Amino acid sequence: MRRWIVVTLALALLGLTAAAPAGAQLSENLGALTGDNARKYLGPLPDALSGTMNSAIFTSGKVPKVGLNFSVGVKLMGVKFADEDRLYAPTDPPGFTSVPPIEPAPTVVGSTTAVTQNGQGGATVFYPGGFDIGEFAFAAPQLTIGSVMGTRAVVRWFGMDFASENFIDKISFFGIGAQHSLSQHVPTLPIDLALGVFYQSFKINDSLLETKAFHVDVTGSRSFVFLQPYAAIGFDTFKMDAAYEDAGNPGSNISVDFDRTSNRHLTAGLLAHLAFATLHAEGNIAATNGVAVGLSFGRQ
Amino acid sequence: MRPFGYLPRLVLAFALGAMNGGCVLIPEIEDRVVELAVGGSTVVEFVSNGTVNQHDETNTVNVLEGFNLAQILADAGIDVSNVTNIALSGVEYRVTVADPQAGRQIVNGNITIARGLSGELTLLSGFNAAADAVTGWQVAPLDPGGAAVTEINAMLNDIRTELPLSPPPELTTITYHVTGQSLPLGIPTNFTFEMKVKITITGTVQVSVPT
Repeated sequence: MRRWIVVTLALALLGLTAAAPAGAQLSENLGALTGDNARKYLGPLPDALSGTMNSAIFTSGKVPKVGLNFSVGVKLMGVKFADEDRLYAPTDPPGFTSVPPIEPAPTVVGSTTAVTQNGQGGATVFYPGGFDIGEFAFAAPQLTIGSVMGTRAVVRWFGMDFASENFIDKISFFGIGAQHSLSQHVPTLPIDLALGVFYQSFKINDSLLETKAFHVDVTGSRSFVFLQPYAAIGFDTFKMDAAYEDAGNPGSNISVDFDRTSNRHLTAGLLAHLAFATLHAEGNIAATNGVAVGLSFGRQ
Repeated sequence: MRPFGYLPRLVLAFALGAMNGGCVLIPEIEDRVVELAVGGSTVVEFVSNGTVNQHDETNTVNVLEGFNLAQILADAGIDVSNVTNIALSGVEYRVTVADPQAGRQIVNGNITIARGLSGELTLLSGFNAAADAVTGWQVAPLDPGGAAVTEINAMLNDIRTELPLSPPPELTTITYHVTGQSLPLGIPTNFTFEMKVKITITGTVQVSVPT
């Protein structure tokens, strides 16, 4: 059974790294798009990334007041894309005036087939196909270490260089935050309560895709033998930017700034302290609703 | 019997079920044939020097001398055998050397192209442009008839069909004819401008994506 868990987690991490070849083509697809259309093409990603990156960070309201405690493990967060995420209405590039019929184009998660739009004077614009993705998963190693004055630190990280494999150059991911026990200040509370804050940065090729996420929540939990149900109410902000070379003007870059988004974040989950590990599973109502699970070793 | 003794297995079964049953957390890696769209361009330079009132220039060029389709495809990772479409997406121009005469402009400009037995086909018509200052790329209005664009698209597809070899020069040689009135009248022109023909291309690549 233990081996099966490890295999499952390894496959999940593989999912993240296997996105790399697609990432290389993502760069090429963006190159043919104007900034406006790149923003629409990538439109489904900010909510999906916000919904996954900002989940499964804090899974308990119980933070020891003092003493050395730590855990290390992997978190897996996933969301599904809605049908309306698969198409967008392109904006005519400068100098191009489309003529009916006006065709919707696939987003990055939409159909793999490019769309032809005819324009005045016989001109043609092709909008690239997507990658036909129905779901999005994000895996993150996480280290938790504490405690000082009822506060513990949480760190996430992931980095990989794909240069030698001719994939995208680099993926880097880093997150840092802390959780502070509120219940230590109010001993009469019937549950454990903690305030957590967490900042994350995720980059592909340094600037092809750059995201910054911030999460704050109050997590409450209560222990029943080895089980610990938990719930959290929180707030997320998410910012994504993209930059790529303009295929029509080699040497010049196009920068696409996405609006910062803010969302409330509700979580309900169950954590189980087993003999050899800690498992948790949770559901999230956030920018995009999703589920998450985690496996960690050590003692929180 | 130990209370809750069955719960560890239950929790484990729940967690594993969540991880595998929903698929959302465990992406399957699937191959996808994705149709990319990439762009390319070729730039032609025109020197207008000494023309007094009427600019009239005819020239014959082999398009392949300034347009390396094979390189564009290689840069995008598209094999030449997987190109699905190729077409003209637009024309832009810019002044690279400004005319010292203030107020210099070209009005009623026309550009026609001819390939093989096509005869002269209008690419740009009624084209007006200031030439007394260096400019960035600006959109040139395509002739609404679109006949020249159709001929250029046919040429591009001839190139595509022959790849990776070079097509015979008769397929890729075009004659362009540029006309326009130079203002102010009576003062020789002295400026240089470039015209960029933008190409859009689709081709398929196979990628592995988590789904």
